[in-house]
Amino acid sequence: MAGLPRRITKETQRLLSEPVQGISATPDENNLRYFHVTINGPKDSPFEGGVFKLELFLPEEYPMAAPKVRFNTKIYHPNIDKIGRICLDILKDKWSPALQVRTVLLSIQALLSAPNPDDPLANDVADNWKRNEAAAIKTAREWTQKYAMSGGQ
Amino acid sequence: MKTESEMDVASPAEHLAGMEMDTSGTAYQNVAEYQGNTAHEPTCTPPADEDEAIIYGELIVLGTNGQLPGGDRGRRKSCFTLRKKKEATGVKPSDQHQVFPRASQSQTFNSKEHHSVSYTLPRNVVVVPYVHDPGTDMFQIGRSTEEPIDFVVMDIFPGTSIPTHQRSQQPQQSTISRFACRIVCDRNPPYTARIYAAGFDTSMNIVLGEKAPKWTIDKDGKRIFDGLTTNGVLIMQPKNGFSQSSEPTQWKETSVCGDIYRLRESRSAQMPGAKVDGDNNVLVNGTLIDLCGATLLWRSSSNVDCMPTPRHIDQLIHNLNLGRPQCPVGLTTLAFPRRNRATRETEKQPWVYLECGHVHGRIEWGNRGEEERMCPLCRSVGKYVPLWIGNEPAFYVDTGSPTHCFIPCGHVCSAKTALYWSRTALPHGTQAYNAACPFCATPLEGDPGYKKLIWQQPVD
Repeated sequence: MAGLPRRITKETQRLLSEPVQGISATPDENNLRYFHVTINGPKDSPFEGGVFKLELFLPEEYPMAAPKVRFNTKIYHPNIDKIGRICLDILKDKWSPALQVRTVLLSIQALLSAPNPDDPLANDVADNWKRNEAAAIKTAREWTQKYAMSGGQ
Repeated sequence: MKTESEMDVASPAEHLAGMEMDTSGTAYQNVAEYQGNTAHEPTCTPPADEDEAIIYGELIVLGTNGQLPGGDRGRRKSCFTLRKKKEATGVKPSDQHQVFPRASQSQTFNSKEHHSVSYTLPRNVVVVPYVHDPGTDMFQIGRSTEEPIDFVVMDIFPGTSIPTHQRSQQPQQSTISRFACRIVCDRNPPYTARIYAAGFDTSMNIVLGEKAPKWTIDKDGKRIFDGLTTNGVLIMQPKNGFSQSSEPTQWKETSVCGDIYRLRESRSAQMPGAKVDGDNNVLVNGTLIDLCGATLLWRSSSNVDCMPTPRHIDQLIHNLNLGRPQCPVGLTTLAFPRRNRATRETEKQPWVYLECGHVHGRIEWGNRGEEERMCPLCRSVGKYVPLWIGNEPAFYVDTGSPTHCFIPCGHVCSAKTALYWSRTALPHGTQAYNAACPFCATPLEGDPGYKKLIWQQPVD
């Protein structure tokens, strides 16, 4: 693809040469602004053992505007809705061009470790999480097993 | 105090004496190189005459960064080297004073061969003839481009030395006198240099008009006339010379006869300030001379050894560039251009967020109002400006790395240099005093008026 900014080239090179533990991001061969991403569910979280697929797109204005990121794997999480949209401030008003794909993915990984039901995107999930955390975690674990483990979809 | 400042001027003597003997002339070469690289004119070839190889000192105009904004031209330049002249050019007051109804009735006044100072009183004029002084050389400084002026100094407008400066300045009326001051240097060691208010005009006269402050004092049992010029010549002699331990002192005023007075109530008030008996008009290394519209820095020749040279500064730039600092947004390598190429904004130009000191490349993001931006790294909001290296070596108090920048102009220099100038109040216009960037004369903003730069190193 012609005219790919140096910044994107450099970020991609580094993502491939020095991947972050538990995260992989591979550019699509037809569109170098589109990344196939997987994030491993963090240890000691209800998502442990799961491999979550995401898609990440760098818009034309990137890095002056945030990347667009979405979960493709179903996940039971108060800050991620049914169609995979993520509620994370750095993807919205707290975006800064000094952040990178790497830091965004690390933040999403951290969000899996620490769900924040007080700033929900999926209201039903958040309600459950607040009302009966143990039950919510159980559901999350079941969903992980069902959708994010090998064989699951 | 007096002995201290005399010691300070005594040191050039030893040094210069050594220089005369030393055929390799290291110290001299420094100055020659310095001259050659900063001035546009090819003045760097050492004069053949041995006498002319002796340098009394240098004057550098504050607010210039290696050359005048727009370039040096002849006697109008950013830096003037005072060299020993072939024949003594100094003059000193004679013992006599003559009283006339009008100055034009005085032969000395009318003669273009003789220097004189006339004091215009309400009913008559006192003319003091000056006589040739074989022991001194005289250098004259002023706005006039006439022949008696050795160093032509015009008003310096803040920011004009910055390459991206928008030249919207309307021509203002100058406040610098056409014949502003004289510097008289002893032709023999320790080559003491002294400064006097007012310079002799093309007719070799200094005329203090009816409105100029003037008075008589008794010196060694003699009645002596003295006075001040309209806007005066102010000097500031820093404590400990011009070094890492320099400390600014109070500004004072020098008179036509070279005595020192406290500042007047306002710049051109008719009443002189109180006479300061312990002080003298000797230029010590680092003395600032304010001509009301431009300020000059005196660097005595003994100190060229510890003063950074243009080569030093190129090396500092080189070292900084070797670290391949990165723009955390563009992930590009930033670099300062070499001194003599720093005439316009470059693609690799480092920019700084002045609130936090984070260095980036040029980016368009985070506007907050017309002048302010948010730093992508720490979200602090403030001005965002390009960084420029302080190219004029004479303004550095040490050879430390360029780690700091002035606010708001973005001129980069060593930490100690930034500290020194931030604590040195400079006369600003006819009333105000303000610390300013020596490289562009922009008044510093905030306290302390400079910022430590934070660079991002490459991750790969």
